[in-house]
Amino acid sequence: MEKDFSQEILEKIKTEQIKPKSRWLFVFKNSLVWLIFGASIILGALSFSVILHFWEINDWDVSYRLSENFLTFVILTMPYFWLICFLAFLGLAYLYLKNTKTGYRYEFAKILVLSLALSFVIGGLLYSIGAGRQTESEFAARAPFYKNIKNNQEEIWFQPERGVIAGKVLTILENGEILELDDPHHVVWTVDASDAEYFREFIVKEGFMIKVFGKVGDEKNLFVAEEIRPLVRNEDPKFRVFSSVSEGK
Amino acid sequence: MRNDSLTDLCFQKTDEELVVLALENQDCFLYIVERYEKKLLSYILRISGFSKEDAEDVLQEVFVKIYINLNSFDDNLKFSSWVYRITHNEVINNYRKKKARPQSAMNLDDEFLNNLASDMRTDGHIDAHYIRENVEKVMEKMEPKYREVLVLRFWEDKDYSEISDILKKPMGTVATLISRAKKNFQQEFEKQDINL
Repeated sequence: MEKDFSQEILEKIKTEQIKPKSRWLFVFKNSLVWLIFGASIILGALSFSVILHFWEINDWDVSYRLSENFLTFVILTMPYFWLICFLAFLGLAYLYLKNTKTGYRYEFAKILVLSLALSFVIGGLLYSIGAGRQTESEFAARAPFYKNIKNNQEEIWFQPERGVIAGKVLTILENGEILELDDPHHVVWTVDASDAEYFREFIVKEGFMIKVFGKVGDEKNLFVAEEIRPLVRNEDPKFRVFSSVSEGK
Repeated sequence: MRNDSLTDLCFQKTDEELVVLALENQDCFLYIVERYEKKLLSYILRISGFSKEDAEDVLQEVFVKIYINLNSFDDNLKFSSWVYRITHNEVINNYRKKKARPQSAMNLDDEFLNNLASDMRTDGHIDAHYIRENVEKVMEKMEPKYREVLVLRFWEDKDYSEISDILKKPMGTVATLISRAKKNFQQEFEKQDINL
């Protein structure tokens, strides 16, 4: 270079009063990236704990009622909302770990394994202290969009031709031998529960969401119950639109 | 502007020591600029294909960015890797501003050609003299990402770890990129109907 380039740069810096950015700004930025990474891992783990909760309360023993094979039942009852949350937070954690000062040095597979391992361990711990159940209940109570998602998923338990109906208990008659049930399409069913078994120590009350296994009766909208279960187990009734029940172990 | 006491203070200091000094005394930044201006200008010219005037403008922006961000440099990294990274980013920013694919002005020198030829020869079937004659033409045709990685490896003589720090990619990815770049290089040779 013919001109004195270094002097020119220095003059530019002095003339334009250019100053180095504060060290604290970089410390703050780096801390923020780590914080978002940590938060993503925690939220992903929380989503994972809800998935574990759903796994626990799923009615695996009656999978044959809904589908021909077990895999179809798994696909039907999978908690997609929480699965998407889990994957989204996992993706966010990956992006932010990549954006830490030395994150680019790690291969995709290593970051994925690390993030998954952290999510599984923390998620398992959160599940063991009941955070999965609590989070799900809070969502059901406070997030209207989640209620819609959940109601759609609960509709899979309304398949009279397969011997299962679900809905809200409107009235209990004749000492619990007859129930009036409002199904997801707001058709009222008369449920003959005289010979029905109840899931564990489940006690039906008006307003509860239940599912009933049995068969369609001879009369219109009559359903003869063999077994009655809460629609969703392990939920605190106060968090439900249509109050549900705790499992009552 | 330059005085003897400043020269005494900054001369023969390591890059990392100069960073500390430049943060205390602006004038010491002059020595960082002097150390890197030629290397970085050549690097910009080789990876970008900008004209010399454009490359000098980019280089000026690079040094201003280096100065502004001096406090973000940490010694987990080699200073040279850090300045090459800033240069790489600035060249990419300038591509975007100009919205143009880089054109070639490779101006490859013997050192680069020797390094590349020597490495290719280890593959056993490429004539080094032949490469020298045609390499510039081939490099012009290569995808910028492959061209840059070859420039860093064979012209700037950076090792995989440094290239990883400059391009902010894992070492395994760098190895893959270099391997693909070499293949791409050979393919471009073949496309131009040059026998290897």
